[in-house]
Amino acid sequence: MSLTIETRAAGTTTPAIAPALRVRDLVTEFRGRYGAVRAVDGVSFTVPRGSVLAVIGESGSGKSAMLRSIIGINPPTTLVTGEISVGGRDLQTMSPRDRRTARGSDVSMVFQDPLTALDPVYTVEKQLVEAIRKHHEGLDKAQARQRALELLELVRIPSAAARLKAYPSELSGGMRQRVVIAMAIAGRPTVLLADEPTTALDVTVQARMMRLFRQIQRDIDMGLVIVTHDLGVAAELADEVAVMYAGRFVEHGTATQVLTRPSHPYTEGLIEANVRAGQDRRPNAIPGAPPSLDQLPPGCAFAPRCRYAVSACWDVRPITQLVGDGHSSSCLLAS
Amino acid sequence: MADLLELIDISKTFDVRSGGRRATLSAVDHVSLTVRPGTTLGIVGESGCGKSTLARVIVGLHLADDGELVFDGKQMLTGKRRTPGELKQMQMVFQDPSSALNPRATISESIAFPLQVQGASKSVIAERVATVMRDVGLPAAYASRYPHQLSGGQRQRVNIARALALQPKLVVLDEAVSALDKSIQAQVLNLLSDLQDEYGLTYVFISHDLNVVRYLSDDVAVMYLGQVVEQGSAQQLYDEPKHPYTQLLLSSVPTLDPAESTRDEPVDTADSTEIPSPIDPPSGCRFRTRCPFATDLCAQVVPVPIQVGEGRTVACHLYTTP
Repeated sequence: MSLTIETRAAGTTTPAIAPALRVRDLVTEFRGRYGAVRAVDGVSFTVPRGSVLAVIGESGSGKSAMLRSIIGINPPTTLVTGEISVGGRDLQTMSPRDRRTARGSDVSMVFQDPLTALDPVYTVEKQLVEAIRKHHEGLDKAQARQRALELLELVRIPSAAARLKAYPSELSGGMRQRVVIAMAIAGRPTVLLADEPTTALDVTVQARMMRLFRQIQRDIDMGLVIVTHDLGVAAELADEVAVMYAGRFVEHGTATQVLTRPSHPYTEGLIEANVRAGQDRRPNAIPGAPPSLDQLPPGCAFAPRCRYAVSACWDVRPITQLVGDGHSSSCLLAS
Repeated sequence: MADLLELIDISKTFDVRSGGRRATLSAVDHVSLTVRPGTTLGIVGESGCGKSTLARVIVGLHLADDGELVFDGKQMLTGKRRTPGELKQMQMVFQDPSSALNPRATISESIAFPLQVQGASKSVIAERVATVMRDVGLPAAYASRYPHQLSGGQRQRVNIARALALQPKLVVLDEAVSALDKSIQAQVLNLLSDLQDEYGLTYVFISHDLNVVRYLSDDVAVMYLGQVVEQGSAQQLYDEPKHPYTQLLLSSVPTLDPAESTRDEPVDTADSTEIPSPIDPPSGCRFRTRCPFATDLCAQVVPVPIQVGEGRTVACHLYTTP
């Protein structure tokens, strides 16, 4: 396997053999002394190559737990069930050794904080070369160094050769985040998972970082799953948007469907809580706070905060139903 | 009406070590601002632009190197520690609602602390704590709880309650809603505007979220590398940004409409997002290294703020040279 960074010519399409990522009935349970907590509760979705899924929701909705389950970095007391296929290969049925190899080359992840994701005592080059040689064992140091340079150019770091010699502290937040992305794509993953990748960045840097994600994703034709609490990031970057609440996808559709014609009251609440440019009207806060996952109500988990809730919502857990072409919603009142 | 707070030519530098050598970091450089009573002044800018340092100078947590501060018609020394009487007129709310609270103090103890410092009697303290808790929408039963038993939004309500306990005239909110989820942020924003209406509070509201600043502020100042590059009424400044930096900031805000996405625009490789270091800021106009309109003049001459309308100033050579 070699790491060639070929740019896909405009207009050509790759034959759709297997989606970049296919997740079926994913359940993540954290088991502790006082019982189990279900952080992810039966999530299913598919991300084609070259496509972006944004998962939005408040903190504690299970977004990060879902990403960590997909890449397989949960603590050992975690139980993960369901199908997780990357490029047609089911990660769940692999041996731990194969799973380790898959990490980075099939599925890779970018974390929120670009400062703590890099080791402050090693240069960018040292850290990149380590990542590259991990995935391409045949490469000697000089070749790996060349790849490192190519990767920095791929993430559009100016004067890349000079930056290789830099320590993380010598780079700005945006540059560090680019190095982290370069490391994550060193193994040319089929799917890249990104957990709040732009949250720690300034708005000016964020705007470019989003375009960069898009560009890289096209360059190496990978699927991208981005977890964010910022609806602006989802609107800017995503093909599809899924809304997560209490461990479930409560709404899923194209970015336009979900963000401009929301069907679930929670999605509507999230959108209305945002202050838009030039808004004078008071933002509509969603009352209350997300439920504690070990004390979920028997019915709809959002019912206690929902302004449309009727008595049935408290008793019946809503099933997911189609409300439009490829647009699904888990609300009793959705039709 | 007379201004409640007037900052005149405030400067603050820090002695730092850069690459093993002593250096001077110019965090706030000749900043002059005014805040009218009962209004909100928003301060925006990227991280490292000096907005938090300025906030700390205002409430007296940092001593300024130079400049004057006039509060409620009285001059306060910016280079000297404040007296308790001066301190109680201005309070601050910090970004991280959790680390701003003592984990071993109950909610009522945290809110009571500034009152104790000011030497209030027990009965006054008990009454004041109950009042501000009600004002910020915290149930009375929370008084004996500890911070870890509260959600992030509730903790920030405690911080606001503590800031209000001394009945200050001015509250400095330094990224006070930034760490909260948007759904919770809206609750706190609404609380802040209700409290302002009810008690005629004056806010200095610092945030990197441009939409939130516009929503809450009457006037806005844009800071870049320690300097105020543009200020004016929120509406004018957002509708018709004059300084190239303000224009850059506003154009970077993502919209909520996927149809307006710019994701397929090319990523230019030019390094124009890199903020120069405040240790060795660019000569002349500090923004010139990122400015698409920069000329030779910008490298040589520091642009002075000039009046470009009612209460509106901009520090840019585009508006000084014909």
